[in-house]
Amino acid sequence: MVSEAYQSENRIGRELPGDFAIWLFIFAELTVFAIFFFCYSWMHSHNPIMFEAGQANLHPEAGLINTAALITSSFTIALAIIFAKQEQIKYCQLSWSLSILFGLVYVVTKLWEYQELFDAGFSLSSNNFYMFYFFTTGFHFLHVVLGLVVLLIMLMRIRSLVGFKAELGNLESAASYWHMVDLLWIILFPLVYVL
Amino acid sequence: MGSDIIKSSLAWLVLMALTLLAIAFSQLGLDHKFLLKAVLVITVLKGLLVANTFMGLNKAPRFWQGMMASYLLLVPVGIFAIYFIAI
Repeated sequence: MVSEAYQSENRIGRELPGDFAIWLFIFAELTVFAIFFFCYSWMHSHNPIMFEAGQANLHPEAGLINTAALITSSFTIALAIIFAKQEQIKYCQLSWSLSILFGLVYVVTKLWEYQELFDAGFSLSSNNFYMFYFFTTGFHFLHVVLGLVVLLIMLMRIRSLVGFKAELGNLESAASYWHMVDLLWIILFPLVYVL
Repeated sequence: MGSDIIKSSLAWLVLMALTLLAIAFSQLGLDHKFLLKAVLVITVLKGLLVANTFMGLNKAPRFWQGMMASYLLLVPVGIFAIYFIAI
């Protein structure tokens, strides 16, 4: 029954962007991060003084720059997929490159913020707030770095005009992963900097 | 396709505006419960915009669109419940 409904939806043009396997991976990652979000919220709600003191030492402007960078990067990769479907390879490459550039803005800003905190004497072992802060944002940071490596590899492949159509599925898979990184930050940002 | 570019551009503008709105709420010194509700509603809206407009899940099979929408709704609701129980 489910299979019939799925096939019927595909017939009327509802298709999953990218590979089926990447979506299983995306939901597995989202589940892991949901556990982190709930643990962070639990610890914050039970240690409000410690967490608010820790948040006061963070740099909200860095959080804002990173949010803007990831949202813009997600936007430009969405544009790159639109251009890829139109076979406008030059525009696709340009948008894809911009996504990498905005991703790098995130990386540099996050490293700067980590450096500031380390210089001020804070580390994973300082207290529960910093343990959660460094672990959760660090784990997300590693996902951004992995995403950037994937985007860079795909940019090299876009340059080859041969088999561009066949590459669309791979481009969509890479873009979907990158959007997931953005989605996770959209939840992480208010948790760490705003609430 | 041109309409997709316009939709994505509008979504980007709304996402940036919602981000600034969340920051503005946090600077106003509002009651924590209200801030929690407002920021989490903004988070849900931003998540749904990214999923449906940028990720293209509005054109994906309904199962996957529903899965993502459920995640983006249930996680903020769970966070709210955790804070709400503690406050």
